[in-house]
Amino acid sequence: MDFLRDLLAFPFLQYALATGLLASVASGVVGSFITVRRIGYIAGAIAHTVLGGMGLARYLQRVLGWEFVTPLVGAVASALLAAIIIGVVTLYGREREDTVLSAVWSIGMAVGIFFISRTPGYNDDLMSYLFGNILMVRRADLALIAGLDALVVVVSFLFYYKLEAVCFDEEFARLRGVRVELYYILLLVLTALTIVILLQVVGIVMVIALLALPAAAAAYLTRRLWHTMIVASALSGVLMTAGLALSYKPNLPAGATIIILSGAVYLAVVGSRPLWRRRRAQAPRK
Amino acid sequence: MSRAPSTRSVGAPRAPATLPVVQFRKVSFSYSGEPVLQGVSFEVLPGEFVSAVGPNGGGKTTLLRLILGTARPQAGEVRVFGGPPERARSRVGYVPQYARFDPLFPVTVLDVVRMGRVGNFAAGPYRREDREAAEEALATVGMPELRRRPFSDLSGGQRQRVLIARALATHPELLLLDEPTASVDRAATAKLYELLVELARRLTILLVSHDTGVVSRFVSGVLCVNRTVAKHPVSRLTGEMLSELYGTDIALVRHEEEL
Repeated sequence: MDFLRDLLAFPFLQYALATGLLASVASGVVGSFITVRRIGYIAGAIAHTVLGGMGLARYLQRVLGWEFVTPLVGAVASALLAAIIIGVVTLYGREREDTVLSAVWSIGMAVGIFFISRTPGYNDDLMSYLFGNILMVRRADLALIAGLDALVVVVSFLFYYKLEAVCFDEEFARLRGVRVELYYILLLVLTALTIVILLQVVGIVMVIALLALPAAAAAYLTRRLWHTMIVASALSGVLMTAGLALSYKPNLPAGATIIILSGAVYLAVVGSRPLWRRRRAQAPRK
Repeated sequence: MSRAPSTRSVGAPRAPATLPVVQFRKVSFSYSGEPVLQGVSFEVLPGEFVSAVGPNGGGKTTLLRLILGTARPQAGEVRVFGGPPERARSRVGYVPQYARFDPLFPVTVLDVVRMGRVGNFAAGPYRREDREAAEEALATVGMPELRRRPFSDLSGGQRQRVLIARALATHPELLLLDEPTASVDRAATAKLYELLVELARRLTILLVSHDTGVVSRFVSGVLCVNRTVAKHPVSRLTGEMLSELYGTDIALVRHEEEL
């Protein structure tokens, strides 16, 4: 109840809830693509690489006085760079995919830690980048987050059928004249932007859970990809709101609360899967 | 073993001027140094229903990839509809094995069939003609009432029919099938061949199969693929040819059993 009262009183709580709900939409849509295409580990690598961009941005801001290079801007730039590098190398490189991902992942983090250690002042930054701090979202951030969210959702819907076909059967889509490499990179770019949005809520380390768990749970309950997206987005929205509300009064970390709730919901859905299966099997079959 | 001349047509006699749908001229292909096909020449003419048979690793899948243009020969030339295979793709309907697909993918039968049309628009939703082509293809394979069922709920034979419908939705002139009866039970296999015989009246069909016995009852010609390719009209396909191809007489026994 304190949460509801304070939500009306304090803008920072309103920004936090708005961020969570905006993030839900993008993560439900893009998370569903990631789940069916089975590239959760690539999303994880992109997320961790972002620390490099945020650390560098903070350094440029504090040490060189480049005010416009906020950590959020650094996150967008490094996520896009990581997505394109990973996409191009996994498509055209002869390297082992897991080696490339490990390299991008750890080098990105190392660059971030390097610059953060060279940046004078309090280094609370590192913790909030890694684990998120949704209560710190400012009005200016919210505008950028809303813009990214709109971009991700509009592009996803515009190319929904292409992405669906590429995720389902890449070879067939290629034979139909679809430029599958281009759509694969596009999917990674959408993933990168969604990661930046989710970072604000749960931080680098836990982003992958929000991309994977609601979509995976939703996929069990639905029969079409766009239904999966709607259910995953709604589920994320409920989880974000509940996590925020539950963590507020006892002053728990909001991001971690949201992740634990997500894990519980996912386990509940997977655990009740035999029931779903039986219901499906009983459906009339011709 | 006497091989039929590899460039002669099989089945109904046709005018010699007919442009071959598929034409291989002295094609060789090797995979990391290991020769898969060597000096292969044959033709498939319009309206033919041909099955490529042979042992595993004999080059059947490579044959399909060369026709689709996803593999290039190291020597010789592959022409499809008189041109390079890449440019003929819009006229070729490809049917892969259903077992390749992720059973957890949330997708309905109609969703899958519509994907046959995915190359026909730049962005946004499917157009009306795409939806109509998908419905029509689904009716052709005889499963319009299953359009809303999840793809992974269907039996193997049903899923294979859905993939055939997806290929038909592209309005192909040549239908290529990769082991369409692999992991499909006997009854469903018979129904699949019934469908293919029906489609063969208006399409050229080339399928890859290990199932020589069953296949030879339906097709007009057989391509025996084992590093080389020999094309035989079905009437001349003997147990001797098959046992030479496979190195055993298992194929012969099955062949007679099926007949």
